[in-house]
Amino acid sequence: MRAELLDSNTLRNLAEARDFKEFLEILSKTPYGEELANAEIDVLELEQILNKKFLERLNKIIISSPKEISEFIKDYYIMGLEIKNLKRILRGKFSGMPSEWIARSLIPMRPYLSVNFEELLETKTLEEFVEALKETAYATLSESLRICVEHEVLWPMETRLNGLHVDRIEVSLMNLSPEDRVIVKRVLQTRMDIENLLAADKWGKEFGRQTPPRGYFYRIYGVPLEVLESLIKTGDLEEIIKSLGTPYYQILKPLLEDDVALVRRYLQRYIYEVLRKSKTRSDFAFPAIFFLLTSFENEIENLASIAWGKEQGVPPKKILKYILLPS
Amino acid sequence: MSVVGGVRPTKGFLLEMKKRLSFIERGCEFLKLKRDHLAKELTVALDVLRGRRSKINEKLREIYDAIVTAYLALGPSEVRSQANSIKKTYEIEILPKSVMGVQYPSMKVVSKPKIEGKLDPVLFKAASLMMEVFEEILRLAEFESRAERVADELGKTNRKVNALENIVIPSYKQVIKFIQDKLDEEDLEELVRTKLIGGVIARRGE
Repeated sequence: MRAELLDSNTLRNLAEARDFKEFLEILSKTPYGEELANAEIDVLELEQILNKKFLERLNKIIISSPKEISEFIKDYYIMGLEIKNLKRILRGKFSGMPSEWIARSLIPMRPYLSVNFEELLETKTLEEFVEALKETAYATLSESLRICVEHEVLWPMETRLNGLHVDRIEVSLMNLSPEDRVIVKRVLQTRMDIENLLAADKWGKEFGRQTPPRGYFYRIYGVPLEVLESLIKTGDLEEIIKSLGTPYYQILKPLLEDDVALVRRYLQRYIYEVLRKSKTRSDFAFPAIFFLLTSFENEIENLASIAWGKEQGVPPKKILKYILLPS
Repeated sequence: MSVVGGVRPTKGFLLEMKKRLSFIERGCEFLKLKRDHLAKELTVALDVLRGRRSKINEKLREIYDAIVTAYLALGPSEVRSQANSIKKTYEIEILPKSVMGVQYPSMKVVSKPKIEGKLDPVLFKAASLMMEVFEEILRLAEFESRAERVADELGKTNRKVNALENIVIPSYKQVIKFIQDKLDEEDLEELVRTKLIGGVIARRGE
């Protein structure tokens, strides 16, 4: 399966394609070619094809991996995709969008359907949406409903969903070996810390340095709450991120120029490198599988971004700035 | 066709024509004043428009860059999904306003969408920049519409002034001159006739 990964030259060629048509021509010569055959597609359809392909790959690995690893993959990736879909339905319901429109944006989840998306799409209000999730892993979402309805915001529910995902990963990683656990924890911690810092910076800017309500940070990892609160109150970004040291300073440096997208790209690069360096054992060991899946995930995200960029005529230099080229 | 066709060369008609001419000349003066004011208004508006447009274009380039970045970082579906979480759109009231009798639409923002706490920071940056510039775009549209209507009215007024100055007033003057000439001619004929009659009477008396 590793051979299916696109190399950096192919990704570069795709980013440098003249237009979306040429992009599709180049892509059709890669392992994605089968799915693209005879298809007149637009960017959103391509994104669905890429998601389907990713799910197929996940499925193959889940089937062929030892139980503890396959359970972890389900909790880390499948639940992640499921939460993306739940957030999309939630946003659509919040603004009163027609169900068909919301359905078009959902990631195809078959055969992993732990929630009934069709039933969720039929709900009319947030209350009904939460009620429909009562018997699932997302039952505690109802605790965030009141604040969402009162303040007409969605972040409490979205934060809760992210938190439930982290909770599940933490339970799941207990079944992994201690060495594998260290790798996942490192990835998880860096990701959560960076997201918490971004959330703190965002809250401070959007709500005039007011303290956020309890629960805004669902889970605190390496960066303590006091630091996050200090960032919200003072907005002294440079001082705070400098004090955090490596790798936070390197990842968060673009935030000083208000470039959050580049922060995400640096975070993606950091996680990619951590996993690349840790996959020293055999191809069937957990680090190699985790690295492979992360690479596939990065790849489909990159391809969707390049495709959109090509359709819109975005210069290759700008596209290449925000995608991760494998090393 | 002669402008004097159907003209009655009487003193009463001459007085009526003179009254009309003076009224038209006064109207023409007013129209010239209006034309000058509108021309001044248009010059100022064009200067302002040029400045504002280039500023807005600059900001729009920045916004486009932020939107492109958001799409590249989050992916098209995610951007669409997050954008859909914004409940309200802009609510705008359009009222008529007037400058020198020229009506133009004036726009007032009644309510704005609330984007705080709903978007990813990458998309929030693009959305807040867009919201900053949106009201400026409305003002610009209002100003452009005003300038367009002032220019339209200026054209109409100019045509009216030209028509009055070059066609209506000269034709009235021609009619007045024609009547005056006719009346003078009649006066002269009357004088000659009177003198002739006077001479005949004088000769009969001798």
